[in-house]
Amino acid sequence: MRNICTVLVLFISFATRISGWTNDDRLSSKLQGTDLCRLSDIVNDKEKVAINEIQVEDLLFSPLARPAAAENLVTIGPRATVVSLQRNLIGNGAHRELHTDITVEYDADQSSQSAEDCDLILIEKLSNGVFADPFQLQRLKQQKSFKNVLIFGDVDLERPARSSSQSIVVIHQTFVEVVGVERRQLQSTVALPLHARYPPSSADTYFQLNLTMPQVMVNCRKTDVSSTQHSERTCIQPVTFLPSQTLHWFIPTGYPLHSSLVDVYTTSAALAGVVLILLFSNMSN
Amino acid sequence: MQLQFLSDQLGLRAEELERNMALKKLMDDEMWTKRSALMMWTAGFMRLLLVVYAEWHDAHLEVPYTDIDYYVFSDAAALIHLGKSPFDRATYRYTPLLALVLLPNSTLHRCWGKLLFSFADLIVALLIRKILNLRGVSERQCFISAATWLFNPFTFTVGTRGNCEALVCAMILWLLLCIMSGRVIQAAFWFGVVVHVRIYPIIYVLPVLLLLDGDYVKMVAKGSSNDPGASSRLKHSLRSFFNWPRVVFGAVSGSVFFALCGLFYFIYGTQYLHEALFYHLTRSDHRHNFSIYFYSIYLNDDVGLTLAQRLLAFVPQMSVQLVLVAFFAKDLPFCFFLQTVAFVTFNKVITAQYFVWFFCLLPLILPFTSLKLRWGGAALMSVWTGAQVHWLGWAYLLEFRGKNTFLPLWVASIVFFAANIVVMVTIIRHHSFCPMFQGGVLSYARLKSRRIKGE
Repeated sequence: MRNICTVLVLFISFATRISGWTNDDRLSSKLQGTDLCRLSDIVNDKEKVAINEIQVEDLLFSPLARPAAAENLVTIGPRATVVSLQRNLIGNGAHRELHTDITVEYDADQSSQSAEDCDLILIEKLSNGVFADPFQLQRLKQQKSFKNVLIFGDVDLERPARSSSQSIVVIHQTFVEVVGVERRQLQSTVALPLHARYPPSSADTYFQLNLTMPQVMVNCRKTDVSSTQHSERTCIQPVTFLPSQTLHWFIPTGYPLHSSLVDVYTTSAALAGVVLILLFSNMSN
Repeated sequence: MQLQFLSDQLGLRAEELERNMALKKLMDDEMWTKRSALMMWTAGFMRLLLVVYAEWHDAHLEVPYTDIDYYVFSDAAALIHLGKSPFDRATYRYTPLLALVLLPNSTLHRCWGKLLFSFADLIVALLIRKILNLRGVSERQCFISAATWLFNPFTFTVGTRGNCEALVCAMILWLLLCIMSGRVIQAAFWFGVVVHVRIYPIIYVLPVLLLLDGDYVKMVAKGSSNDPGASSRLKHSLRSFFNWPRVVFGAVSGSVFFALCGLFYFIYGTQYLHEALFYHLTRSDHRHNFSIYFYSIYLNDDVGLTLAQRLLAFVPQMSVQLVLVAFFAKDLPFCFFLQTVAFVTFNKVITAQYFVWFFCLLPLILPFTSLKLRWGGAALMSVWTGAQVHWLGWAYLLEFRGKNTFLPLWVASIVFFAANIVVMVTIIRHHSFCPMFQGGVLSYARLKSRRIKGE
């Protein structure tokens, strides 16, 4: 019975979250933390699978397919609140870095005597106009820029935006304790390199690409100091968000009115080249 | 009588002079041969250093030295090692032979491929020397030609970055050597292999077939059996086009090509055909590159190119290839070089690694050009590199500064195209056309005697 309720609630939450991505940047959760734990389970398992094999839908709906593994999950702990969230797009041109600087206030569970270790989980939704390079991200992971990173969806770098589709990047990053504050605060910075695809030609000569807010989760591991072997996990989702900061990225596009000019002169140049070569070959003989 | 005495003395002196000159030439040749050997060792050592440096660079700096293609090959080789298809690796669009050759990347060391390609560079230099020797070129000229390959920045960076072009160049030069030595079957075999590896060498089939004419048959016949009736039977008729070297060449190269493609189709299915063959035939890249067609392709991307537009892109390429073959087929290395430059110039997509395809043939024509480095050759090199640098400037503004420079970039690609045409016509103008075979003899004999008399 409990499992069915959990699954139902999860389904509703994901349904609302899908609409949340398209309409509402404010996240609200009526969920228990255990359900999001499953999401991060799946995300952690996926690293054994090759990148690009998983479709975006799998990420959204696979929790329904998995039976609840309740042994090492504990019920919800206190919530975390976002104190500050800064988003910046660093760089010029077609290759830029998306910086997210986040500080989270986290009420540690004072009841149990256990140590906690928290990670940040950032879920970036990328439109078809931009993509992340899996190999670059793997290299960054090896250089310890992230704890873990996974990409789902279209990572094709050869096709233009028009023939490409969306992708989702999931990043695990460590938190750093902020010193000198009353309540426990954790801070983390994520720098995600992104690359622009060729947008459709337009008379505006620049295409405006919007980068929306990510979905943020905090994944904390409680290690019970009394029993060293058994470690439990809790997943907590930040409830409040600051107002949305959609970033704008302007990408140059072709100018459609150039089309006939370009076609004519390209062909003329090619034919002129052939004629010149013909003339000089004839002369040399 | 005094006049007779004087003329005798002069006659003796002339003989002595000729003998001394021949001796000097021998000593010169020996010196240049030694220098060539030293140069090969230096070039090899330099490449080894670059491979080691590449390892350090990739580990410590953000922008990698190694090309992404090398990782693609290595991953595909690792997949074959696990018994899977190399085409499971995204963007692996080459023959499985390449992944097989790079298997030691997974079993031995990941630098095996780069070392192999650098070694292929040295093989190419050796083959250049052998071909030029056969054409009667002096050792000093051979040294200079080999140096223009070994120390060309495009060459050693492309090889040490992990591109496999050196292997293709080695195969092409080898088959050229086989044709020059009359080994038709071996040449045909390697031709089938090289077209299977890279599609573009198919353009060489026309001049090769034209070269394998009556003169060639006579030359080959001289070495093997004596058939005095053969020359009389070789009438100028349409039927005589299909002489035995042509038929053998076509049959052997065709069978090898289809056998290899068939084998891999049998093992890997239609995925092999799509990724390794059809992709290259239908490839059109909308992203900015040196080709004059890139902007056209990008602007027409949403509607796609009409049949007329596709033809308009194909017709100049086809025409220029036919023109070059019609005029220069008999001087095969020169024809190969011009055809390759033309192919790259008129292609729908041009990347810097394509330049290696004609850089391996350039050393073969250098001894036959009247262009001197000062100032004709230097001017030509500046025009060509200048046009490239100009294009790269606009491309940098577009890609790394986000400025809309599409129109100037397209103009820059037309300028680069024009620079390529200028290079081609200048080289055509200054080239001493030297047919490979004349009157049934590899024409080196004539060249050699001309050179000894001239010097």
